[in-house]
This record gives sequence, structure tokens and C-alpha cells, in this order.
Amino acid sequence: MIEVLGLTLVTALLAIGAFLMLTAAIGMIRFPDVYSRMHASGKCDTLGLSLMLGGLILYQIIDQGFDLVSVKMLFIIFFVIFTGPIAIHSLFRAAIKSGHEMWTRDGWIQWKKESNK
Amino acid sequence: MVYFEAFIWVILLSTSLVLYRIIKGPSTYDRMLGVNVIGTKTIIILVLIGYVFERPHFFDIALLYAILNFIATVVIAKYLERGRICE
Amino acid sequence: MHGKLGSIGTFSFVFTFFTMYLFWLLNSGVLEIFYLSLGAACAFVVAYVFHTRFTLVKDYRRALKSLVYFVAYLPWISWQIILSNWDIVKRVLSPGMPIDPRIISFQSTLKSDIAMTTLGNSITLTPGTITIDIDPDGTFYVHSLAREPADSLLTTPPSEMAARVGYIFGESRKWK
Repeated sequence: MIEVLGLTLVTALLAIGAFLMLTAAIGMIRFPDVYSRMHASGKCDTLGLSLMLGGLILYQIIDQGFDLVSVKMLFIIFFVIFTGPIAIHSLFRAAIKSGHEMWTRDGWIQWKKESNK
Repeated sequence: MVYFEAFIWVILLSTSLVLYRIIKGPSTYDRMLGVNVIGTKTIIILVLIGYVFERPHFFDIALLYAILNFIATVVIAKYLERGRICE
Repeated sequence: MHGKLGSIGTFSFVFTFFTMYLFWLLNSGVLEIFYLSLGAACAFVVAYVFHTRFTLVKDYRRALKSLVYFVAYLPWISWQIILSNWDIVKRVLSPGMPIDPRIISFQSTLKSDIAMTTLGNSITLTPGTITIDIDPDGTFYVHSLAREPADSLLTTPPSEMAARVGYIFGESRKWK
């Protein structure tokens, strides 16, 4: 009984994670400029990966008990959660400092730091 | 598990969608972002493949891939921002 | 780069060494004398070269307290991450694509690097906002996907997240 419940939970976590990753990919195609694409990829990919790996950790615990493989996957989750925002942020800053244009409702603008202060 | 293969196919589908963005562009930053996203999806594909083939060594490769993906993105972003990597 | 091993130097060296050695043990899982000593040697070299950069906090009593507060902060930020993903999913999949990007800046009272890094990462993970740049005086530049997320950062002058992060690192009093 508990095994069936656990496997259902594993499948649900995997399905939600895969759905979030698919959403990130669709957002990469649909959004108009590189900055809004970073919103889609940076958030949905991080949580999608965490949920899928969480489901796999649960599966590993049900299947073989708690061992070092689940610890490794926990490391991957921590690493991705802590470094994903930094990677997105560094790309964002590189793009905006080079004067890459940004899409708004009023058209494409070029953002400068002084003009906003 | 057998049904893990289905999730591999779903993630491969989303990878091919991102691949369209990498080929189409239009700028370098779009392409770098696409490479970062595909790197994240590769991590989970590696872990799922480890389960499908029942080989635990794939988890080490996935961990390494997470680290490499982060470092590659940050280094290339730094290069695009400053024109050089070392100070 | 790495100065004399004073009290804080010793603390950061020992901390880095044990973190690296724990990472080695959990990754290898082999308890033979050769691999254990190999791991110790690798952890020693890494800790000797990088201990000043790995340990960001200066006061280790404060660091322990910060760690406890940080763990207490995790449930709230996890809930925010889930909300943010729901927000993005709605925006991506709705046919009209209701986005209205803008860039805002706001002033925070945070001082230390680690507090500003934590707040920047938290802003990136919460609904509809990405940190662009942080000035040394604590000014945050944030790209927002629509009007509402920007307003939620701006309305209450020390916004809830900034207050929470400041509380973790002992730079502001408890929110509310």
C-alpha cells in the first residue's frame, strides 16, 4: 500500500517537473526578447529540475533505502538552486551592459543606468 | 523503471524546442541562454538514463555536468561583458 | 592572498577543510585507508588555497546564528518559488501573453556582501523579477516582467523580503 502511494507521488513529481521544463522551453520560443526569456528559463528550469530529482530521490529511497546515490542527487539540487540564479544574473548583466535592446509595451528601448535614477 | 523513458522523451522534446531558439538566435545572449537551459535538461536526462540502464555512474556525470554548466555560463557571460576573462 | 593563519584564518581553514572532506566522503563512499588519505590531501590543498574566498562571514558566532535563521527562511522562500513558477506558467501559456517588462530600482539598507547576494538570489527566484545589478551602497536594479511584481517590491519601503534577509544577517530588526 505504502509502496503504491509512494510510486504515485514519484510519478506526480516527475510529471510536474517535466511539465515545468516543457513550459520553460515554450517560454523560450514565445517570449519577445532575451530578458523575458531569462524569466522563463531561470525559474521554471530550476524548480522543474528540483522536483524531478526530488521524485527520483523518493523512488531511490523506496527502491533501495537511503544511500549515497540519493545524497548525490541532493547535492545536484542544492547546487542548481544556489547557482542557477547567479548564472542567469551574470548573463543578464552582460546583455544589459552591452546595450542589448529591451522589449516593452511601448517598443524597443535601450536601458542605461543613469537614465533611471 | 520502464516509464522513466517517457519522461526522457518529454524532456528531449523540450530540448528540441530550445534548439530552435539556439539556431534562430537572434543574438549571442539568446544562444548562451539556450545552451544553459539545455545543460540543465541534460542533467536530468543523465540521471534518468542512469535509472533506465541501471548504472549508478551516471549520477557522478550529472553532478559534474551541473558544475560545468554553471562555470561555462558564468565564464562566457564574463567574457561577453568585459572582452577578457582574466583580470 | 591568504594571510597569516590568525583566529579567523584558522576558523575558515578548518571549516573549508571539513566541508571539502565531507563532500569527498559522500561522493566516494569508499572507506579504505588509501582513498581516505587521498581525500584528506585533496581537501587540504583546496582549503589552503581557497579558504579566504570560501568563508564569506567574518564572525563565526554570528555565522552559526545566521545559519539557523537561514534554515528558518527556507520554507518561506520555497513557497515563493512555487508561486513564481505558477506565475510564469500562467504568463507563458495564456494566449494573450500578459507581460509588460520594466526596470525598477530601489534602495535597501543591507551592508554586507553575503546579505546582498542572498537578497539578489531571492529576488531572482521570486515571482516575475530578476536582479540586474547591485551598487555598493545597496541600490538594487530589478527587471520585472509586469507591473504587479514590481509594485510588490516597491510598496512597503523596506519590502518584506529585504527585511527578512536583513534579519538573517543581523542587519535589521524582525519584520512586523
